[in-house]
Amino acid sequence: MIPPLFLELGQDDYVLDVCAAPGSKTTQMAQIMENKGGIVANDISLKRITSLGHNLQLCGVLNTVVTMFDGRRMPLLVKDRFDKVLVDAPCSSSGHLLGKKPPRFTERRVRHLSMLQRSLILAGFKMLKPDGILVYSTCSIHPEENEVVVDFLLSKERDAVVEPFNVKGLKTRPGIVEWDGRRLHDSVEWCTRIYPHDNRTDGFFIARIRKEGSK
Amino acid sequence: MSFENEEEIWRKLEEQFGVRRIEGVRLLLSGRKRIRAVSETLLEKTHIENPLAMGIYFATIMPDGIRLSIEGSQMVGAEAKKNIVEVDDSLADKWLKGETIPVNPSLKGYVIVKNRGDFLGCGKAAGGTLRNFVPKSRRLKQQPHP
Repeated sequence: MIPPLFLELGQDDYVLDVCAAPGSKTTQMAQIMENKGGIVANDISLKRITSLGHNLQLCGVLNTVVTMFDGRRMPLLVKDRFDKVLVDAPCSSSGHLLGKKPPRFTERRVRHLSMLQRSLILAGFKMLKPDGILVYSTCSIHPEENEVVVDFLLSKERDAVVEPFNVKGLKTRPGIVEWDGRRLHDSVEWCTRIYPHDNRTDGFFIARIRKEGSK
Repeated sequence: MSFENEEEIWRKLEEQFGVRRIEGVRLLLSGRKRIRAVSETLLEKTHIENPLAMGIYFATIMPDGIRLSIEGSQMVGAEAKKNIVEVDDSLADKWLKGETIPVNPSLKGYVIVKNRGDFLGCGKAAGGTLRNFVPKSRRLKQQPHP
């Protein structure tokens, strides 16, 4: 999976996966970190956490703590603590164009998800250490769930900076900077769009955001 | 979850399987009998109080010894010096389907099952058979008859 690669994980990192279940990205992160450092794998749903726990067990992941909090409220418990944060947010899955069933979504659902995603990205950013990296990703291709969400964070947090990032051999497209008659923050262009027809993968959106160190 | 008796658990593992402490791994008690394995670095980093789970399920303390989980047997197996049973492919297949398999009658107690360098879990040997503890959800499914 691509989003964990954008985190550039090291063996000494303390990482938060805000929406971790069912755990494919968490187990991949643990593998990259060679079971060292520490990961907090959080999810809001107990049912989904059961499958997360099962997958962590199967993969022999030793460096992970599992928690069940509402990701939006986590900054009430912990702030400025993690080296890396992954917000793989719930989305409309509109990028799943290669699957057997076409994605189903309504404008209302996309709007609702966009509100949830804004809360999650903001919460994730608050829990990041100065100079830490947050990766925001969805499997949606709707700008309302992607660039608009990143633009929201940039408007709220002055120390948030979008960074360009490339994965070798992967064809990507820049973020959309104008949507629905509104010009978004210029740096939103540094976000990454992955389209199904470019790499024979599902559609994906990834943004790598750094929290600038305290001045 | 607590680290009480961790030294005692390592001592029992050494007695049972001849393994020394595994570097970078800590064992903690979850409840009275279940042991979980956690990386040392996680404990240095984490600040979460009362998490739902930490690390993986490693083993259960039984009255007659320590019964390893499949992952526990994989962690211990590579270093273990005793109580390992090497089985052929046909017995390994039976084992993974959840069946009891025959072993040397001289074997007694908890042993690790090994096939071609892979560790397949832990069973209890008694009277020439090895009792299977592979959980139902992880057993190989029987092929349906055509």
